[in-house]
Amino acid sequence: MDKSIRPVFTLELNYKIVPGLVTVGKYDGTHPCLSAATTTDKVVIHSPHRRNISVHGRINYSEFNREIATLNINQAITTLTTGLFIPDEDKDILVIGTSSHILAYHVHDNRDVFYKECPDGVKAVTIGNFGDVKFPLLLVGGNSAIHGYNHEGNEIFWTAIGDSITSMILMDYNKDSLDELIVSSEDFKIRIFKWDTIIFENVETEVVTHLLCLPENRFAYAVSNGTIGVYEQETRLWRVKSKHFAISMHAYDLMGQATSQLITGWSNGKLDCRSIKSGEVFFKDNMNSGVAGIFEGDYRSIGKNDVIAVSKEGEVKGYTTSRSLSITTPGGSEQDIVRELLAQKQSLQMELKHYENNTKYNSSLNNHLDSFESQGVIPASTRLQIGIATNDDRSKKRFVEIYVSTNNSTIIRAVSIFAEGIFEGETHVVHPSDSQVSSNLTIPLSLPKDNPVDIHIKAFVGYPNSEQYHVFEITRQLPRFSMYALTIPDKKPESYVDFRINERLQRICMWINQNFLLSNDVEVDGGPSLELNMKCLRDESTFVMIFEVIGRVQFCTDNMGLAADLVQSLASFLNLEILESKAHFPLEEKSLKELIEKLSEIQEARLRLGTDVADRLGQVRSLIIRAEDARLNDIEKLPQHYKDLDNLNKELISGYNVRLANYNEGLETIKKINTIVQRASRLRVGQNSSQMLSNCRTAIKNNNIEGLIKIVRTG
Amino acid sequence: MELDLTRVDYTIVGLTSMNCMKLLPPSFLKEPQKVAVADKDGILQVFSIKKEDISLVFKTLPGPEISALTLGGAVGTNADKIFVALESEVHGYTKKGKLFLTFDSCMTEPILSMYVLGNDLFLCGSHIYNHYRDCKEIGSYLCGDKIVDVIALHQERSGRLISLIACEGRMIRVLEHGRVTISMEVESAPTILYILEQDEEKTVLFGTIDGRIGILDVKSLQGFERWLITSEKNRSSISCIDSYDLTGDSNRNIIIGKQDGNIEIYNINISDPNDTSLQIFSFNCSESITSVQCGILNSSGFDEVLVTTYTGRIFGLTTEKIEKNVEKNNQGENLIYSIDTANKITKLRYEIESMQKALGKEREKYQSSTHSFFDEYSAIPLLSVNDSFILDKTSATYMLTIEVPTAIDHILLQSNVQVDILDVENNSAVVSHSEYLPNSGNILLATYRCQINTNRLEIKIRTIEGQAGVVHTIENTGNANTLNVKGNFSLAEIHAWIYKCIPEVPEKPNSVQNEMNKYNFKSSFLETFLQCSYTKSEAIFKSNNVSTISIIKEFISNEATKKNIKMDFSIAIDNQTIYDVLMLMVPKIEEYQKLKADIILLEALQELELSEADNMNTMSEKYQDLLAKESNLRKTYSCHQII
Repeated sequence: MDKSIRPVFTLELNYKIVPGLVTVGKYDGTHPCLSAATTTDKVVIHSPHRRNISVHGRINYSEFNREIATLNINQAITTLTTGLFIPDEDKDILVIGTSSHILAYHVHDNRDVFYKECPDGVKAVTIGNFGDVKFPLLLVGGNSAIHGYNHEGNEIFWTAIGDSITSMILMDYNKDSLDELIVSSEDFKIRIFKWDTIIFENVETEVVTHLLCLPENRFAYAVSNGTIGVYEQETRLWRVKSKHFAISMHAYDLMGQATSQLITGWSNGKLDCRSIKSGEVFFKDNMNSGVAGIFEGDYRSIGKNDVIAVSKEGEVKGYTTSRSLSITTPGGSEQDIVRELLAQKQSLQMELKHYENNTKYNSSLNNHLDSFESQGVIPASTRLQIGIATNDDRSKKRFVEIYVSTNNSTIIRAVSIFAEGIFEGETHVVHPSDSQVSSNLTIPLSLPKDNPVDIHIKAFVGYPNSEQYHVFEITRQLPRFSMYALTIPDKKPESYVDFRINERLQRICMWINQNFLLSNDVEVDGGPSLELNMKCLRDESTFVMIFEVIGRVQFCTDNMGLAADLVQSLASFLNLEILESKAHFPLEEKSLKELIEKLSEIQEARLRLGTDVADRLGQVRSLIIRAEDARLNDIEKLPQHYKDLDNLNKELISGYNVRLANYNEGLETIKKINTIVQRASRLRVGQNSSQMLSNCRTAIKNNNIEGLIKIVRTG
Repeated sequence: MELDLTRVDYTIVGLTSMNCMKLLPPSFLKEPQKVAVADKDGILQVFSIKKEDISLVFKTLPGPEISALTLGGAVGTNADKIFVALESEVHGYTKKGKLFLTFDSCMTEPILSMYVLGNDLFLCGSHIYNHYRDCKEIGSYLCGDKIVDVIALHQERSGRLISLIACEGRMIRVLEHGRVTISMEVESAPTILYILEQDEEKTVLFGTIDGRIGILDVKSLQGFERWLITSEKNRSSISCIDSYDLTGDSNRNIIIGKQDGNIEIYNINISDPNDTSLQIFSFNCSESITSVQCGILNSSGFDEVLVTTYTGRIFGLTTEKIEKNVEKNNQGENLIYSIDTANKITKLRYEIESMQKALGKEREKYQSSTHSFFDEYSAIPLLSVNDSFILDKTSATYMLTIEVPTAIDHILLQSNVQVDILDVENNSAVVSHSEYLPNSGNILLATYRCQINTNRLEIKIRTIEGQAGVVHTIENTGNANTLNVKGNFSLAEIHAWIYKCIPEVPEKPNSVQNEMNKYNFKSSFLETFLQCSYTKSEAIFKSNNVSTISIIKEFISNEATKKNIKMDFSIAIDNQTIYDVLMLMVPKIEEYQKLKADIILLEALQELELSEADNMNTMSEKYQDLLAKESNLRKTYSCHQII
């Protein structure tokens, strides 16, 4: 670690900053200004290079600190972004997202570019060139969909995601020199959009909270369980997990290596600088409180950007590229190498010693036999056997069962299973009580999602009296659809998706065997079709898969999400670029219809409630004037006026609660609609899928329920 | 920090015990000193250091574990003979490596600590103290407490030979002719004794389990004099002490090594009790330290602190500025190197390569043995785990420390009682709590997945059931609940039960028969007291906390049932005590409530965004006061959030 990196400047903002809501903008086109959201729903703009310009309007310049200006938003701020937005202008626009509105604000001219209601909420915002559009787009990610606006506030782009969006970035993902949109959402997924087509999708173990585009077509991500990592296209270069959470990430060349490093700010105030390629830590520092954001800007007006970190308590630290003689060999200085080598030697020595001891022990075996159980000695031929199966015992709850056993009299003292995303923490431990230890152990697992999971099993093997145990490690992958088991034919579910593929049944059998946990491999029996009756272990619902020799495939299930997952999994297994399908989901169609009707009701109610508020506000004003008037002229009536005011206030508050409920209901409804639309689109692949999405958007906009249902059915 | 020291790694040996490395005295001034180090593989080696690398003088063959190493010599000669203790034997070597003494002490316990003074040899096991002169036993003592260290010195005035033993039960005993002459009680369990010689005056220092160093008054032999070093920040147990003049002001500095890997150097003034000690250097090597020694090792004549760690690393902290050459490599990167280090690296790389080859063969052999049909065994020797479980009085938590000689991959923690695991600042492992099945005997199942190259982990635990830890204290009078236990049990049995349920009780009872054994405790969480007095067939427990009494009763009856001993319990409850204990709790609860209210108020005051003085004046005094104390309040709040 190079000690010579010290902050080049520090300052205090004296505002409490909301973590994650920090950005920098050149509002006058040249000078960077730190902008951050405070815990009191304000935006502070720190402009150290401000000339004497006095402006009025939204912005308030502080009386006693001329470098600081505040913007009162009075709504919980959810996102803060800056960027060049207006074509042919070099001044950054500040974009403030709240739970229901988005404001694009021109700080320099002190005017609103636009102020728009976003009924879907604002969760993530990015500005940039996307697709074929010639001007910058403002992309707003909400609770279930992404909207793209131009600088006039017109919607140019729309797509459904199906869950809350947590972060978005625009970058050239596949080296075609056009920017793709990378979106992370609360369903743990990272999706890459080329305009409205998903070109890649991958699943993390927890909610991805941050994305950051890095040079050379890479991007970094942070997960809510404390993991950070870097992707280069589809391959993950590295990831590390910490017990703290990454709040902000930035790419900057701190070490003077001519390429950027990844600077991460953590919830405990730690800053670290890592190699983008390997994740190796070059530098660490600590802020006095949790990091709120990291960005870069020429804050000292020296013509070179510094990397600047802001903490929750408003502490600001700036660092610059280390120009001292930095040690660039991996692993630090030579003394560190010596230490490393000595450690290596030490562990080798120990291992050798262990083997020597082992040989010695075996050659003088007869002398020891009496005490070997407690000595941690086990037969060398001890093996750990493992079996994974779906448990379909009618009496018990249904699980995926992992069965581990040893092949001799040794016992399994404990088993710890490491897997991400399926337990509350990252590990699950089974430690039977002393009287119940035996040479085999059954561990029930319940998988909440249909994703493939890697499980790492560590079993502690020894004898009942052992002080130390031998650890056996086994790694297995659970297939994507582990929580489904074969069952006897039952009534076929009414809903289905139906499509044609040009593929031999043998290939399809391969897909089934790879993606389901079946006791015997499925084989083609020569009949005209292959029919599998399956049951979900979570809720005992059934589904049927029918594959006909002529290429017709039908998945019968009431669960549209499952059907979509099956279609996507099969399509990617068979490398299908496009797939057209017919869907018949009467239940979903019905609820779609109901939801849209409900939504228009909610919107009507909202309009009504809005006029109500306007009425009441008028009354408030007149009551205050009358009360003040009474204070001077008719003191007796004063209490009455204030009592009325109080009642009105209470009404306003209850009215507010009604509106809040209405708003939340609206949000929920929109989300449900978008989820159904998104699932329906996933019943198709490629072109068909994105075509369907845009058709749906038109239908929803025109309130064409019949049309929408037809689109869901036929694509 | 006044001192600037650079770490230089020299070599590795096997696992080491406390105080198993010494520097041989130089035969003339400023001559580089040789290092004698012994490890648990039974190897004693003496080497000197040349060009950052070691050159061996001699090395013994592996044998039984060496538990102590000390230097000695006939009176009037240089103390350059090396004595090592292995099991119950003592071996003596000259500095050339000649074995001149093999002495079997015939002790029934393995030797744990040893001291040599002229012709006198002092050996201690965990409970036995033996004194030999010219290898003839002239005194012995059986201690109920566990002995952790021994030293001996000639008293200045009388010239009489006295020895001191440090015992775990917070006692340092002075012995003369195998008899205890004085028992000195100290506030915290001692871990090590050290004689500081400054200006021809000898001062006895002791290190404690909570990271303090105290002075014992030997001159008048009255007992504990004062604390020399108390560290608020780092309360890790002290494992070794050395003194040396590193600053060049002819005053000796104290160098201490701690269990958590900290090496600290202090400026002290031994003669003036009003002068506080000043920390001038601190370094953490993340492995527990077993010994520190100061001297001149390299030919260049620079002072150096030589350190050994538990896992056997030997490194120096040198005052020499390592000369570094800077050169650009072909990628234009700056490289710093020194020829000595480069040579060492090449050598190490070569060694590792050959070891890897050897290991590859062994692995193959082992693999084939796992497939063979013969009854072969896989006998991995027990990993020696260096663990400790220490009560921290200030936070009423236990610190569990685990250290092993190899990298820890993960730690599985299982408990059958409810405990809270608290976050430790310098522990970077990822904690994961696992679900457990009721009735499986598990209440806590947690895993710690460690970052690479971790071989030491600290875990903080707060117990919930039972009492939150206890501290020795003076006798307390007042209202008390009394539990009277009668039954057919021996003194050893009742002592063992008390030993099991209360921390820091000596392992064995005081051997005085027919007299009541008495212990007083104070809860570090609630400050309630507990008094135990017991003898054969009878025990009386007094506490003002009724739940303490009920837990003890439950525990003892459980233990007695296990041993089939019939017990009679009689309990006298003083109703006043319930009120008293509740009153003890009330101020604590009130304090936390107020703190919480203040924090909420502060959040609101923050909204006003006042930073100008004239704005401040418009507020009530209470608020001004709050804002003034803001940072303090917030700090205590975040400290207590876990409670």
